[in-house]
Amino acid sequence: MMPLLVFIADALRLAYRSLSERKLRALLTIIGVAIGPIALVAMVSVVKGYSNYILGQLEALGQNLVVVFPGENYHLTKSDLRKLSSIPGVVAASPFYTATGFVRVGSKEVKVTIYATDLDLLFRAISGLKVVEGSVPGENQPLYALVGYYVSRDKKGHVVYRVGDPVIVRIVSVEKGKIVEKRVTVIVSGVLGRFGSSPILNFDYSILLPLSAGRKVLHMKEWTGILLLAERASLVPNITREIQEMYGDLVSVVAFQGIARVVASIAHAMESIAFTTSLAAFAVAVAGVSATMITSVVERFREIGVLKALGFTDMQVVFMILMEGLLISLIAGIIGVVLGAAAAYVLAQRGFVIKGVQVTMVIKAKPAITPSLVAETLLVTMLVGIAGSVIPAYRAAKIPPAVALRYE
Amino acid sequence: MPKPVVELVDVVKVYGSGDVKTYGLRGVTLTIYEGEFAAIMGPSGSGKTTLLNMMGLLDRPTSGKVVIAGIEASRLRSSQLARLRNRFIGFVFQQFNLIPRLTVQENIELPLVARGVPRRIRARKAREALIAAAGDPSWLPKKPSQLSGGQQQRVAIARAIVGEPRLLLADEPTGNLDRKSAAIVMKTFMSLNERGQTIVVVTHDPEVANCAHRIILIRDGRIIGEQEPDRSKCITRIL
Ligand SMILES: Nc1ncnc2c1ncn2[C@@H]1O[C@H](COP(=O)(O)OP(=O)(O)OP(=O)(O)O)[C@@H](O)[C@H]1O
Ligand SMILES: [Mg+2]
Repeated sequence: MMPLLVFIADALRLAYRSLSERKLRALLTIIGVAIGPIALVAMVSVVKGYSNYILGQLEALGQNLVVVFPGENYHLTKSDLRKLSSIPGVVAASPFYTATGFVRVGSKEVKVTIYATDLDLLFRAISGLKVVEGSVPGENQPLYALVGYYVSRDKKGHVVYRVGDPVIVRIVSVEKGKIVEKRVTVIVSGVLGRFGSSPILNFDYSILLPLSAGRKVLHMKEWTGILLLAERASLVPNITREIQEMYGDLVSVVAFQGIARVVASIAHAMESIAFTTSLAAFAVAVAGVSATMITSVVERFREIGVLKALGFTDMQVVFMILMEGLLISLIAGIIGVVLGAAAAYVLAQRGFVIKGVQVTMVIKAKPAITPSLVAETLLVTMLVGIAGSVIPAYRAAKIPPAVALRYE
Repeated sequence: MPKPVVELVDVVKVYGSGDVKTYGLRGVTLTIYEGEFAAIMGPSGSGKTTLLNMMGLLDRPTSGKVVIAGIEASRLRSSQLARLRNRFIGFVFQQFNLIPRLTVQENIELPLVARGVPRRIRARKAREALIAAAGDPSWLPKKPSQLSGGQQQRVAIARAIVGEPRLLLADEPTGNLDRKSAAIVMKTFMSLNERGQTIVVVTHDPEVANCAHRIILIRDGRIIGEQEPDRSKCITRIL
């Protein structure tokens, strides 16, 4: 055991000596091999970063929430509400109204989304939602509102609306093909804590009203939809299926959980694409290592003969050549991971544009450079080095010492 | 009776196959005994290197037997031959064959690296071997290119003896050296032999062959006889 370990250490040292003798060639090979890990780390970590971010957001939006929207020619009524809330696993249900409006915040006019619904249900469903000042208005206070963080203050943090202040909201809607504008005044009952930007629900730019405000303040006749709260997240798929069976195409059902699953599978597909793409770079790297190592073996034809004369076995010669390839790829792997991480941060800096129905937003997420990504990348890169050295090592093993020693 | 170190029995070596056959050896029977200092002398192309390769297990005979330290080598696998070379044989070549990017010390240590000997022990043995080969320990950290040809050949001798082989084989060790350096190298061989080292030197230079105890004459792949050396004609007399 000891002599073997000693030999491994020496083989590594001799491999290093041999590489540093031809620095430029080693460097060029290392650069060639490093492209694979750079691409792999950069692409996978950026995709993972975005998908982790989006999945995190979706999780904060409530894994237990199911939203039912009416189809084009369908109106949701009290009897639908009753039917939906009697589905097994549904613990609470409430209709909701949404509208789009504009509020003056400091010197700027800010676009806001207005929701009118059972606020208790909403707070139960969405754990990230918190009231930091004031209180949640009751059902009998239709004029009282919770305002989003960036409605209560401007971007610089100057508070514009406090509890008790009136807020004038310009509500814009399309009715019979014409844009209709209404002005309503609500009173701040409470201010929401920062929710963080979310591509789907943007609570920082929202106004939440009790359900009764839908008719009385927003003057809306139709429910926008119905919110259902499932007892457990695991029941959501069943509830979704039940509704689809009941209504068919008459309504559409949205569960954030379902969206999360779609996002996760898209992210997974993108990761696989990134991985496959980098494999091309890795394949080229195998050829590169092979070319370098074959040249090195041919140049050292006589030297390898001398080593064999001194008593190095064919296996020891093979091992020394493999070590050289391994060393090339290990250095390239480390450089690749570092440069790939740097490239990932540069890519992620530019952000990722999501064009939503109401808003276009740029999300910026830190690339996910996980230990397992680093380990996998190094492992694949090292395999490249070994794979590229197999043929040269075999060639070296086959060199007959007597012939090599005659060779001038 | 002295013990044989290496025995060749009717060794034939044919190079190539089919129409282009070349005879390296045409049936050589030869025994080298422990403590001997033998010179193999013959003209160019007579089969000296081929004979040395047979004794050193660097190549397999086409027919015949090679027995080294009592072991019949012809049926061994190449990894076993490598191990026998490492244990029993030291080589010195005409072109020194030192590895230029390694230091003198690392070059001398190579046979022990193959054996998996730890560094500390290797460093000590390399130093001892270099001193025994009439070298200077100050060369140890140097690169071979910083030494003269004669000095490099003494490093090569140190590398050949560091593993304490039973048989030291040298193929034209003075072929690339000036007379003075050649004389120093032969003096080194003589003093190693005085301390019990078995040595076989291939040469076509009578001044070198006359330093040995026994001169074996080879021509055209056959041993044609032996000759009594005349030590007064040994090259070391110029020192
Ligand atoms: N690998 C080989 N392939 C073909 N022929 C060979 C090979 N090695 C040696 N020979 C031939 O075998 C014969 C003996 O060669 P060898 O090298 O043993 O001679 P030598 O006495 O060492 O010569 P020199 O003094 O020139 O070194 C020569 O005719 C040579 O051409
Ligand atoms: Mg020769």
